[in-house]
Amino acid sequence: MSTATEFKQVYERHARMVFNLCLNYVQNRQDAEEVTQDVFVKVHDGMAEFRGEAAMRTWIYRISINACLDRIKAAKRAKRSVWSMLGFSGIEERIAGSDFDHPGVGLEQREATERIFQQINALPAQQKTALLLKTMEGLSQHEVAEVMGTSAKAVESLLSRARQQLKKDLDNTEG
Amino acid sequence: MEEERVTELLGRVGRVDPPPFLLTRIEARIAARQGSRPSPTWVFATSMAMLMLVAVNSYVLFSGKANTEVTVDQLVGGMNMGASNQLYHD
Repeated sequence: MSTATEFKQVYERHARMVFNLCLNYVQNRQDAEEVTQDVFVKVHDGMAEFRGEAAMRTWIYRISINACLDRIKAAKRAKRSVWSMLGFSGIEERIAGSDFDHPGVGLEQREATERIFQQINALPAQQKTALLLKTMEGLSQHEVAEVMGTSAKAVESLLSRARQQLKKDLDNTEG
Repeated sequence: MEEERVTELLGRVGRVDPPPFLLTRIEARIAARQGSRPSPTWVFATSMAMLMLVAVNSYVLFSGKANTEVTVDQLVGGMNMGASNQLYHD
């Protein structure tokens, strides 16, 4: 089987998963499309090393998460530099939320869901990753641990802290 | 907001299919990257040519064949001249 055919098969098996993970991470359709492209270019470069669907799936999850984190960092740097040049500060979190464009969110729930995602974005990267993989990707704690390269116990701790922080932040914003 | 409400809202976020043109774009990016890389044959040929150049230069420099010390007699003989500084010969 040629590399091109094999790659196409890998894409068809994993594209939906990658795209939705990216959407949940960056909450913007255009950014998610670009990050998905970045992910699959890397997959193309490295896929020869993987045999076995489970290993490849875990590896693709990792590439996707790292690509999303890189994207978010780059976006924050760009916005910070623009706003600091204009003399504004402390406005980054509000600006980050204004790019919300998640096609999987219905209009009725948009405002409430956007608020939740804003609080999720404020979590530390590890907690956000664990929460998204568990809650939105439906992975088991063991699978999340494998993707993140850590133990199931550590994932449990991350999830617990993430939920506590979310509850606190959402209670504060509701006053 | 209760945790159950958060879980409920996040659970309602639907799964979306990626746009159909995405694979085409990815393949175009991969093809563009491969086009900008030099072919292995060119890289090999250039490397071998440079290695040969360095080898030849090293041989010339370190083999002693570049020794330029000559005696006066050898120089004069090579130019078909006399070593004497006399203007008139007997």
